[in-house]
Amino acid sequence: MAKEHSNRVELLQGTLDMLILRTLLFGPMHGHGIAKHIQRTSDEVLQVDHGSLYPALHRLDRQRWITSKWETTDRGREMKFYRLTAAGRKQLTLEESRWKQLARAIARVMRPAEE
Amino acid sequence: MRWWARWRRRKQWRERDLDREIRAHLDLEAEEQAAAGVPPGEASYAARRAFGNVDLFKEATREIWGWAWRDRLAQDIRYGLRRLRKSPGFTTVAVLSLALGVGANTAIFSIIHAVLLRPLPYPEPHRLLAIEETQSATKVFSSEAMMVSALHFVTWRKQCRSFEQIALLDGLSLNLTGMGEPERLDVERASATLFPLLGVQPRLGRSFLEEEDQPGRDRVVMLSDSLWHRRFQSDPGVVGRKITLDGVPFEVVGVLPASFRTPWLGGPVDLWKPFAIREDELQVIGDFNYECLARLRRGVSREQAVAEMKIIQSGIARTIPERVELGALLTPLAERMTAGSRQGLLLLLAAVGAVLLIACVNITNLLLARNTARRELAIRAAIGASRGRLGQQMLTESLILSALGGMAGVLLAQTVVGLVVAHAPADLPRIDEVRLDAPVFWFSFLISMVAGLVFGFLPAWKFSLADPQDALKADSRTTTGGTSSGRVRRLLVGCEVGLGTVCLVLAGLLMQSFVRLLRVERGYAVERILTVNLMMPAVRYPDLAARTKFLRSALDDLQRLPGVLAAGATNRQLLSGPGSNNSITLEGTKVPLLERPVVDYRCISPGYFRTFGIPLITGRVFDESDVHRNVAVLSAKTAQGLWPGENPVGKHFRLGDEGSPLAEVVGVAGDVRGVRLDEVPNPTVYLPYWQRDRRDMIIAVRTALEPAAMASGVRDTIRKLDPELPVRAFRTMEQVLSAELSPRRFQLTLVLLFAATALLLASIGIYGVVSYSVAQRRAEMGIRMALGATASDVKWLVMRQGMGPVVAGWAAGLVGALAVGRIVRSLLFDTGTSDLATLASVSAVVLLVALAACYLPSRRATRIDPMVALRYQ
Repeated sequence: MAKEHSNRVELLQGTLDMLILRTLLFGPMHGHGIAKHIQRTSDEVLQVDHGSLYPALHRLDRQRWITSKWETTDRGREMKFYRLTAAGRKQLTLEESRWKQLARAIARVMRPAEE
Repeated sequence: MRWWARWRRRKQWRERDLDREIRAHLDLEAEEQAAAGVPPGEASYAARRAFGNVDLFKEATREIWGWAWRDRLAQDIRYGLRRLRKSPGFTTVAVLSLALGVGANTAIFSIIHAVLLRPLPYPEPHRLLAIEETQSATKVFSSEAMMVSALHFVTWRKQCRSFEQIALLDGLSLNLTGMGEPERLDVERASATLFPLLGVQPRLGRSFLEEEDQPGRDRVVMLSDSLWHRRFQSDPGVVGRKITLDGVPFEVVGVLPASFRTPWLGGPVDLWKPFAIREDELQVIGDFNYECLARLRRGVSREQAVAEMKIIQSGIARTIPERVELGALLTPLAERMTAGSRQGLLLLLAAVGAVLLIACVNITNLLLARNTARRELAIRAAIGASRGRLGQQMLTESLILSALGGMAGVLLAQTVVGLVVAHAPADLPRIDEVRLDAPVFWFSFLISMVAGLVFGFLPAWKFSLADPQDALKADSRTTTGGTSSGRVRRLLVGCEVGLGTVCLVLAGLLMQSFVRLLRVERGYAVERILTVNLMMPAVRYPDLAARTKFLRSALDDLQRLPGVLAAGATNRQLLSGPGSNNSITLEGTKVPLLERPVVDYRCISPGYFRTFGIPLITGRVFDESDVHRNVAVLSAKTAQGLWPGENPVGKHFRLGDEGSPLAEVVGVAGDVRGVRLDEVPNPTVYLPYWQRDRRDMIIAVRTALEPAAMASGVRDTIRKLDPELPVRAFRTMEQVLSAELSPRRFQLTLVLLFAATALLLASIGIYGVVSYSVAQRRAEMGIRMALGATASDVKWLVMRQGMGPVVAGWAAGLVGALAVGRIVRSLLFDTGTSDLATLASVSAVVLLVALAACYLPSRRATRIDPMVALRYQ
């Protein structure tokens, strides 16, 4: 098991919220879809326990960055869909810029080692 | 409880929603896994694996909702209750000790609240002041604050602008006749301003008018509610009725409400009449006889009033030919009313505080011992429960304990308060207002919770610091108990013993002083003496001659009554406080009025000395042959003070000013503690009752047998002479003495009770700690005994370790007691705060009780069978 996951990366604390918001930018989505989307777009590198999405979703809901509603999927399944709010959009830009700053900073520190 | 139901509904809805959401997620994932070729049996398992720990994420989600703490609390409470049920012994001891502590505190606080804290039942009570006078140049023998002179009062009323109202008060008694059984009533003579000053409205009629406050127009009275019920059958038409008091008609103008209490003059008052200061009361200089009340004008501070009164008083002093400094003492009324009881009550509060503290320390110790033995907690910590969470749980358990103890305490307090109020001395003001009301309940709730935090904090904190591995290991392997928790427990025992010692020393000092007061040289006998009050109304006894005639025949008849050994009369009951005093002038000297010595005077019959067993030192007692001469007997101290080293018999003096007749000293009698038992004898002058008397006199008889049984004989004898005279208030001298001692007895009983409780709790604490350490060290004891230690070696070891903290605590307690002894100094009679006998006997009691508490478990240690103890491990 451990070996199987060795090329997968644990999410940094707090980045999950950003990923969820980013995913919802494309339109309303349920929890399962969000999990799959994160996994797929990261080429299966980012491995999230599906369960860990739920505390995060409820936290974002509480912050009023997303709203939720039960809806039926195309395939006739009742799922709870989450939708980005205007405040959520603003929060996403904020977190994105913060993330870029952090990524640049880390990259700058790490570059000498690559040479 | 509606919010609770709503909260539950919302919570359930959210739970269901989350369940549904997760189920939908898992179903979808399982479907996708199946579509990807996972065998149907494993698909749902795979979905769960992808999801992670469902319960953990649910829990995390609930945390987000912000309700977790409520769940945790409910869980902790359930868990705590279950644990407490499982150890009934511990729970009982803890709840009972707390109940003792909280109950005692609640009871004492309810008294303090009623007597000291609750505002007086008058509007804007902070503006009410009591006024007394001070005078620097007098040679008054007693205290420096004096009552108020009517003359000065009139000046204040005219000049002082700080007061909205000012009122003069005096107490007297009048006989109510002409409507059935004659009755002697307690009357307050009060300025017409008293009622507006106190802000009281009569329930019927009106209060006194300004013009009724003058001699001649003052034939009006107001009735107390209880007198109105008792003697007038609550007749609503009573206003305007005429009643006869001392043979004089008075008109009833009003009835006061039931809730009205007159400030401090003493017991309940039956009726009020206007003060109507008489001319003769204004002439006497240096006649400080009345109580005075004032209400400050709004916006005027007490300091301003003090300053203004100072100016007025020095103005008055300038009009007196002699050099004298007059001052005034302005005390907030509430303070003046409670001045006598404040200190005693605060002492009681300190004592019960110590009891509660000891109870807390005890429970801390029990909890500490219990937690060390609690493997289950250690296991829970080892498998990942957070320390904070466990500590929180333990604190919850403590708070449950304190809530239970608090409730039991309030129940206990209800009983205690009833007992205390029933036995409280009469001088405790407002004691009838004591009840367990909302502020008192809040107080007990608060102290219970604080107690819970106090005794729960240390165990919870210590536990959260401890390494669970140690706890698991300690339980199975260690043989010597020398851990830090043992040190803490011994320290706590030391604290308990220290606090207990302080309490016992204070109680011991009070007891010592009480015993000394009981044994003090009173100067008169109290055994087999019966006293009764007589009030001769002015109508039938208009003058001295009439009263003398009546008293002489009454005393003669009583003297002849079988069973009566002696009979005497006096104008003032022994031990009835200060009063009836006057200044003295010697023949041929000219001393300024205010510098003359003041003596108590007693107008007595010749049989008085024999009745009370007061010894005659020199000369003789006056008798009937002295009827036409002015004679007097002096107390030894008076004689010594007036004519030091000389024979006073045959000397002359005047009682009062130059106009008074010259009296010849015929004898000297022993000194008596006649004003109060705890005050040194006042200089006293005895005059024959036929020279000077009062309309109310005390008659006393010394009896051969039980004095109370003579009451009916005495009553019949007096009735035969005057059937209309109310004969009331029979008291034996032993009752008088007992009433005099009752405040001290009350205080002593309570403090002693609390100190004994403190000692009991402390000894339970010692016993618990020593037995626990014996149980913990079974193996060690076993090894020692296997290696040849004798039973007495082991016993000695246990005792020595047990007594270590006791001795330290006892020593600290003695030092502490010396330090806090100051707070009781003024309550003590003839006893220093470092009284050796007291310290020694308290030490003996503390150490003996502690020895006993150590001895019992130490015997158990000697009975350990080494083989069993070693195998047991």
